[in-house]
Amino acid sequence: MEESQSSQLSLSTLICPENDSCLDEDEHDSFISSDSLDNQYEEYVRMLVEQERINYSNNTNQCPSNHEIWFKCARFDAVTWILNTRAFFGFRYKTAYLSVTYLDRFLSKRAINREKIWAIQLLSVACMSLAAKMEECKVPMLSDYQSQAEEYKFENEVIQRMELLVLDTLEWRLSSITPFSFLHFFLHKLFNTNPSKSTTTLSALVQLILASIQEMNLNDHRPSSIAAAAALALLDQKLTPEELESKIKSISICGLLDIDDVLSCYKQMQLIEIEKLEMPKSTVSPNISPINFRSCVSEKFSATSGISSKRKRLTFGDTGQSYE
Amino acid sequence: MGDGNNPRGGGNSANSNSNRPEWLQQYDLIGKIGEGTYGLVFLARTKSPSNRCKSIAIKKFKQSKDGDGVSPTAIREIMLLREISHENVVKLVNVHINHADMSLYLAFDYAEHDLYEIIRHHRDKVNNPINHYTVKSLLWQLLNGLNYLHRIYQAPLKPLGDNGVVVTIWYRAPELLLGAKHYTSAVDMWAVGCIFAELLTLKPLFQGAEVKAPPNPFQLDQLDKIFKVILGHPTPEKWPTLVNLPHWQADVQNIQSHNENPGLYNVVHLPPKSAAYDLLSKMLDYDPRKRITAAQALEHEYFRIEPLPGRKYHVYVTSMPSALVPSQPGEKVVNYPTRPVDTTTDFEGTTSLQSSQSVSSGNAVSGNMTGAHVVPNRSVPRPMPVVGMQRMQPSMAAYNLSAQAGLASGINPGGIQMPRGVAAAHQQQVLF
Repeated sequence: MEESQSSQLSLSTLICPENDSCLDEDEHDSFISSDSLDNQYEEYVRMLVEQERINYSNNTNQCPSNHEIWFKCARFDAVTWILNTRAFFGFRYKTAYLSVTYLDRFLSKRAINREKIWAIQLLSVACMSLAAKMEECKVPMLSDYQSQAEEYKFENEVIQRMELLVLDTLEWRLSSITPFSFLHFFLHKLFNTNPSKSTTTLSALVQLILASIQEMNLNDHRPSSIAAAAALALLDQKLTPEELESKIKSISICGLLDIDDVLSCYKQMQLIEIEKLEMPKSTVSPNISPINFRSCVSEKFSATSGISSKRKRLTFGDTGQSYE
Repeated sequence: MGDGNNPRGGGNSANSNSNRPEWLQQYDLIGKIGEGTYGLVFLARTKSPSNRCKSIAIKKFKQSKDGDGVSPTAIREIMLLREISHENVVKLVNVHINHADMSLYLAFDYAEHDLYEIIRHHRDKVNNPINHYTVKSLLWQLLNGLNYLHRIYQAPLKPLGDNGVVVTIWYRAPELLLGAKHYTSAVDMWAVGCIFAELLTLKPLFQGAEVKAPPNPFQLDQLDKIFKVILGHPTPEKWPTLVNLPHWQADVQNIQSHNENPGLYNVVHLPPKSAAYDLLSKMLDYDPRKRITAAQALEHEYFRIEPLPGRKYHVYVTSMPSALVPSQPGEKVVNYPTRPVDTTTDFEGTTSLQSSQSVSSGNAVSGNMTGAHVVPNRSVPRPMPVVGMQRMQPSMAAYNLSAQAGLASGINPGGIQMPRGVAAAHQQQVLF
């Protein structure tokens, strides 16, 4: 069941086709064994979407700097590092996705200066470590992540403090729905295939989602939208908004989906060259490709302006919040 | 217990200590109420004007090993506690981070009574059984809390391994005693059955002598108590998966040999045809797959016949020492003693205490993380399951702890006179 053994760090290992079982979220295991999706599964998906709608309803505040190019670039590198590290340790896809969720949620609440771009790297390590502790059976030592991030070395204590800051900032709410929970559902609804026999399609969907989260801020989109958009994009990348809407409306739970959100995700996925997904992308070299913020920032976007932020600074002060 | 090692003296003096971290200054500290491998539990009252004198239990989380960061157990458990909301499940009101040593303190709602105290009170002081209405009401609420936990975390199965889920063996389900590796909701129900019986008789149902070493030893005496004394021998006919259990297969010390037929109803003094007996025997079904679930138990006839369960007391399933509070705010729970509070232990003595117990020098170093092993001879929770285990459903891991925690309400070893701290340690043990 466990993915493992990928020791080579590259997008090709990241997105290599894997057997069906490793794509399953545990929640479905009992459902997908039958030949057709039954009502029970649909009910389950309905429940997930409902829950997701509640979770994402008050999710509006964004930091202004999150739209600046240096920030997007840093985030891109952070997500790349997370994806590579996932492959390196053989973690589940969900672990990588959760890491990015934590990263985005954190950055929507606390600002990181352009000058302190190393903090984003520290944040990536902390988010990855937290997600692994949530999802994985075997968790690496903190120092093991360090070999993956060569530019800055962080001491264990520093990483642990960052973990605590993330936990506190996220108010310890680490449990989160991911698009992977919906894949079988949309596969069945849109491709009319038996989910348990469509390994290739599932793999492609996973690849597409992972590629898309490098650009998409996960605060802005619901997991069900991302999953639906990925399925639609894989089906046909040239749908007009009207066609897309009518496709969505053919799905039984369409009332619960956020069509505008699906459309927005779909538009971003239209930019991804799906046929090239299986090939290593630009950032990938045969050896490990750690975050390299400086090169990215300086080479590609040297002209971007600095930011001034009045938001909450990155501090380690006491922040006990009451949950009442 | 190490109380004598406390270098700082009386608990109340701690409140005047101006060096305390800011988060701590919002509380008046009353004293220590529990201790286990996870760390210590303190009773405190809030100072804020809005919540004046609200009782809060503050649990210190054990430090993780250096180099591992925040422990997965802490992360999963707190994450879970944040999601939980049920009137019969204890409420986490705050998580405090003590930045000096990066330790975590959880603040829970607190109430002064627990099932153990009530059982003991009836046994030792009143010398009278708990009336049926009260037993039924307590059981009803316990099942409600548990049913909630079982419902939101449906796929049970958590590898036990050395995760430190160590229930006092008296409440441990036979499949675990026979070497099953997975924790299921059925395990909880066995423990509820034991608690039910204990509420009826004021004595632990299966009071086996515990083998303390090596880690996870075979508990022959506990099985003996179950097999020989009360329930009779299990058979593969009644319990088909029995033959797959490691200790049964190995026939360690001839556990397969048969014995005379005992009688559960004799022990619990219930008519074999009564609804109460029927429910109890279904909770104590050997086959975990046939054992009654919390949801089914709540539907059982026992709860539909007079006296109907009521709310005279309010039970929390809890990861703290279990709690009962009056259903009417301000109404005193008459007669029952409150949980013992050790006011001689200083809150800030926490580190000192732990250090002095496990480190022979007794030198209290702030932030020293080596001193977490408070109770010897027990498997200490490890932050990570061992390699080769079935992959853990993470939320379940946390859940299991909580659910077990809940059972701690009754799991508390009720029968043996122990130093208070030790009793609490057993109880807490279950929890985290």
